[in-house]
Amino acid sequence: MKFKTAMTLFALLFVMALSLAPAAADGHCPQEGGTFTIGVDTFLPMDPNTAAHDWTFYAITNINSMLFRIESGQPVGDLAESWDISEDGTVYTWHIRPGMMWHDGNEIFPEGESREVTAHDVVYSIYRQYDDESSIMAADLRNLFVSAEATDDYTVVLTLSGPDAIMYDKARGLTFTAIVAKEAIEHYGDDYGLNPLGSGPFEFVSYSPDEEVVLRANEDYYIDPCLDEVIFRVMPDVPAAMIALEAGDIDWWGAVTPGDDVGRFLDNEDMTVINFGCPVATRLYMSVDKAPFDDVRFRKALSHMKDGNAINAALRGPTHVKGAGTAGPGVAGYVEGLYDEYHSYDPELAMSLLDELGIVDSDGDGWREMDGELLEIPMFAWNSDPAPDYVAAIVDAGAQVGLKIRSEIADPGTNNARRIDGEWGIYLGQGWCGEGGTNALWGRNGWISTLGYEDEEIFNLLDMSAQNLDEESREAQLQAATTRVAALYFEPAFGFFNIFTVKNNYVKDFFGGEWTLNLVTDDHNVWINEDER
Amino acid sequence: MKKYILRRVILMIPLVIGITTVTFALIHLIPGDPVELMMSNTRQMTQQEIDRIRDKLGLNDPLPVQYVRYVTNLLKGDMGISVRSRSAVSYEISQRMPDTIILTVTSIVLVLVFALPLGILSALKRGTWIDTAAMTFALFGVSIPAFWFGIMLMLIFGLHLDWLPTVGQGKTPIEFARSLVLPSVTLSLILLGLVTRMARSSMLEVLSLDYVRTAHAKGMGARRVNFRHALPNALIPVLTVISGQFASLLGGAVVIEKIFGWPGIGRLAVDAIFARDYLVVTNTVLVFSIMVILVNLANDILYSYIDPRIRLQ
Repeated sequence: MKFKTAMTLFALLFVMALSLAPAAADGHCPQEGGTFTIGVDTFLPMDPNTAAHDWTFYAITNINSMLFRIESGQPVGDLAESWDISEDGTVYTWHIRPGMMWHDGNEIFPEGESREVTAHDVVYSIYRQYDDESSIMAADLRNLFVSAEATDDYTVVLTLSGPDAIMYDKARGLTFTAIVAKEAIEHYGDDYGLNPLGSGPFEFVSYSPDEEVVLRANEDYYIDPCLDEVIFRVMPDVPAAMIALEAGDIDWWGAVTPGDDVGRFLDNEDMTVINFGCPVATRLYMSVDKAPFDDVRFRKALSHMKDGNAINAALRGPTHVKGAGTAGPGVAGYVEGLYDEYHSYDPELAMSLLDELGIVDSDGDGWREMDGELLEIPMFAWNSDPAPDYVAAIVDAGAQVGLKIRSEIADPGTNNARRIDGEWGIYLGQGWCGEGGTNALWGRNGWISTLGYEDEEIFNLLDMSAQNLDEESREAQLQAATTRVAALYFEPAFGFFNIFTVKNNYVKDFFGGEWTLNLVTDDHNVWINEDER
Repeated sequence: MKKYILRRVILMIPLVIGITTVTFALIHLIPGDPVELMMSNTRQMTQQEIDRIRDKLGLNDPLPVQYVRYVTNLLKGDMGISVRSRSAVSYEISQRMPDTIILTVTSIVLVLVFALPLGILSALKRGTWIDTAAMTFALFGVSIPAFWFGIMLMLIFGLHLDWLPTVGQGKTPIEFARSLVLPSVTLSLILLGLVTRMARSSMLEVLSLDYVRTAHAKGMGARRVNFRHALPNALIPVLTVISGQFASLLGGAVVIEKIFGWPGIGRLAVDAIFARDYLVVTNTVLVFSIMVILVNLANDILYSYIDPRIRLQ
């Protein structure tokens, strides 16, 4: 009897333990159903050709299948079960997962009349991005693209003119090439983004601009989603969004969480703070082709006159990461110790460099002059927090060494226009995440080329690394580019900030640390514990 | 009356043309590039990629060419394409217009229901604690910034009491009504204080006029004097204030729409200005202008019904 009781208890405990375990890959859900509400600050129509917006891709990557998705920074199969790369890195052979069906029960495919997603759909989707000159297909992939061909229903051969090392980058390459159905594109035309149709784990239900997007579970997906419904709720006001998150009106804040709130949520046992693992740099750019910025000593003086690390720590709170360079810790090309080597706080050195340049206070009014005239430098920044505070800190640091810096805060459009026109001054800037970001910023025709940032050696290093599939030598090339940027430009750095998002703990088995949102994968199947909500 | 309305409607045409031309020119004069802005904070694009997209979208054409194309398309009923969302501008506006109207009208109804009686009561009970309380409330309404008040309401009724949703719109009529409470109360705050004070002073002014004294002297009941004779005359300046504030409410709705995640045309316009989405800006201003003109027209018509001495010519 005792044995039977013990066995019964054991069996019961076993069942209970199973029910508490995370979702298994076979689609088992500890608790089926429920709505997962995601807060985002803005949302655009869901056409992968035009949706130049990360949060919009959260929905796209759940509606449409991609060839691959990114998990823990690595590409894993999605629509493509597997793929091979030729030795020279120019030919990708993608093996498409059989049995993937387009969503049905809609205008394109009525209930039960869907068809299988084939290699021809993949080829169509790639060419749709390539042929549309206004699409957001990355230039480096476009430049390397030779052809995409379906050799049979389940095999796609992508040929490039050279290897592409950033094919899987967070924001470049094929990461955002969603596979679309030709029938849907032809039917909806320019309105496809308002009526997206895919083969992913969730089907599109409705889109209300500036309000919400509703998706429902696709029961025909090769893994059964635990959730019934996913809602993307647009919340442009971040403080209000934080209240909504705590009130449980949204379950995950999918956009960047401000430093102050991160600190608060880290102490909240009902919440989990998720790190995207791709720190973003805050730094200064200058008109390096114009005096006095064209002299490295002046740039060096600007770098050493401020305590960037302290400023960044104060303004970014717990999201602050000490460091400098074109890429942050954890990203290819990061060089440790760069900050101390090039950007340490040394106002004495800054003053002596300015003196050496002849930028001195000759009339005794406390401000330095250049060629006999007061040197008053405008500092440009955008008008949202914490940018104006960085400017105030630089104005103050300048005053400490006798350099008059004038704050010029404007809306992002005006600020960008000044940069494009190459207006003389200092610019507050933020880096971009990932290697693709490094290339887009510092590479040929890069984002800051209008300010005179043109260095053939940096361009070559970045070009070479973008086509170098050998991880070790590529890392060395990226680090060399990063170091040269620091040494050549003395790009005054403040440090990095981590991108954090926050979820309520009743959201289970959630893998939210990527730019592509993976709610249902071989390893993860998000579910909501309604008892804890 | 019909002739008057027709003339006002015809007069709208040059006004609207002028507004669209000025808006189109002004928004293009502001520095900034829509494609650049679209890309700069999200996907990582080089200048070369941005230039290619600009060219494709016709943004490199001379301004007069872009304007002629805009007007020609507008006359055909096509408001153009939003650079930011790549959707039809008419779709963008039509999706948000009902939400803005619901929010604004609900707020005006709240004002009429609460502020108007309060102001009148305050005038009738001048010098009493009711008057003091009403004026304190009015002062609160005028002084408190709407964005702060909205956040406080969210914290109290959404987070701590959990009575009302903090964001979004409910799907069922009851859920929708619940989600409308906080934004409409916050928006009405802008007008509540103003209308309460206006109704009080207007009523006090009318109550001191000779004809009211005469009515009292004739032995007419206080209720009849106050509500039959004084009130209609006191209402005219109040109505003027409300209609005049309609545009302000639409503008004020931007902040409220943003805080409560309420999709509205005001938010669309502001986002479009920041994104330099030229056609969305020009067309939302066009729609705003038409709405304000029509509200003013309706107000003029209403005057003639409230006070038959006013004849529309």
